[in-house]
Amino acid sequence: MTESEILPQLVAILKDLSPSTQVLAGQTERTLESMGFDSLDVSGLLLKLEERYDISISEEEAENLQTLGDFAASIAAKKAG
Amino acid sequence: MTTFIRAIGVYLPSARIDNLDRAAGFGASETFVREKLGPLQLAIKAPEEETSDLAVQAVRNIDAPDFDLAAVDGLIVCTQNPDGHGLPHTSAIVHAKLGLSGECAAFDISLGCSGFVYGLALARSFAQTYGLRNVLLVTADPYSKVVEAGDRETAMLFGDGATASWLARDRGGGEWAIGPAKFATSGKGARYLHVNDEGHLRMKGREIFTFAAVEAPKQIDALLVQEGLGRGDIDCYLLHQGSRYIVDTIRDRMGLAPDRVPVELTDYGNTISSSIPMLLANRLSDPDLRKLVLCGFGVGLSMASMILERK
Repeated sequence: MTESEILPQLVAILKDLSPSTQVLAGQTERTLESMGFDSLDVSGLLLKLEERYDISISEEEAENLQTLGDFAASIAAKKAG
Repeated sequence: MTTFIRAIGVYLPSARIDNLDRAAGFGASETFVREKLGPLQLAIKAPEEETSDLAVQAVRNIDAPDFDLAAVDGLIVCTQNPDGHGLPHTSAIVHAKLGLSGECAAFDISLGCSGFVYGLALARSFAQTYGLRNVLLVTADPYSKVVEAGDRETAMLFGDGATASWLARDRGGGEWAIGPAKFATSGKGARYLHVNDEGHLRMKGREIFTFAAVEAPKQIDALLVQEGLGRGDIDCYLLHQGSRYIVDTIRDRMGLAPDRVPVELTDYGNTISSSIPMLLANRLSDPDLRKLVLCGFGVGLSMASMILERK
């Protein structure tokens, strides 16, 4: 599973979490915070990602995930590993 | 033979912290406070008020004509922020302040947000095994003793409050029977909500959130299956009011309608083990309710769910 495959899925999950927030798959360098997602949204997102992709994201790893691209790359790396 | 919840007294200190002001100091938006955290105000006890004082006020607020303090033969106080250093146990201090009988059992239990459900189960078993007739289950856990005003993770959530539930083997009619329950612990997560060496509360919000969001629906469903019930058989789900977001999340994951999963923490905050009895106190005499599920989760990490049925 590649980052480019994951990105649109990630966008759909984020839209589901916050329908009023505009998220575009091309905005890989934008932070989730700048899109309007708060710390509780991120907790909800991490849980959805762990369940959807059957992965585990540690607290330390989560602290380094800021942008859409960060999340997609992390998921892709875990699925490849 | 079962034990019934006859009445619940609630005590909230009159003083409030404006949570929007506090949130502004952390750079948090009003939307975040309103829609995610929940509390617009946080109840806070007076500096001289002790945990036992909150407990006594809650007992004094039990509004039932046939409630007789002299007949109380059991007192359980659920707290992790006891009077002084916890020795003697706060229930002994409450016992003295209320002038309860010398033949009254009194002990504390150390649990947080799951404490009310554990306390009901314990009170029922204890009362039935040893023939007690009138037990007071008090929840009083003033987190203002350990919350640091500058800690973003905890300073916008918790409020002080207490409840006192009168549990009796005799019933006056239409009371709630303490029913079946399930319990769970994830001790490896104990560090995610603890008081550090400096005496300050520290919380890893994501870990608590994940525990509650994943495990609460599982435990509730397992309890319902055990009792031959479905989600639709329950009139109302009274979940620990950790935050608006966690209650909404559990509700969404279980596919329940908002009116069956109340959120009530706007005016006082997350009151730990008192949050569920506060919800219950507002519904004890609602004739439309026949079956309730209670679910408490938090520090420990600990979880407990129970079915209450109106008999």
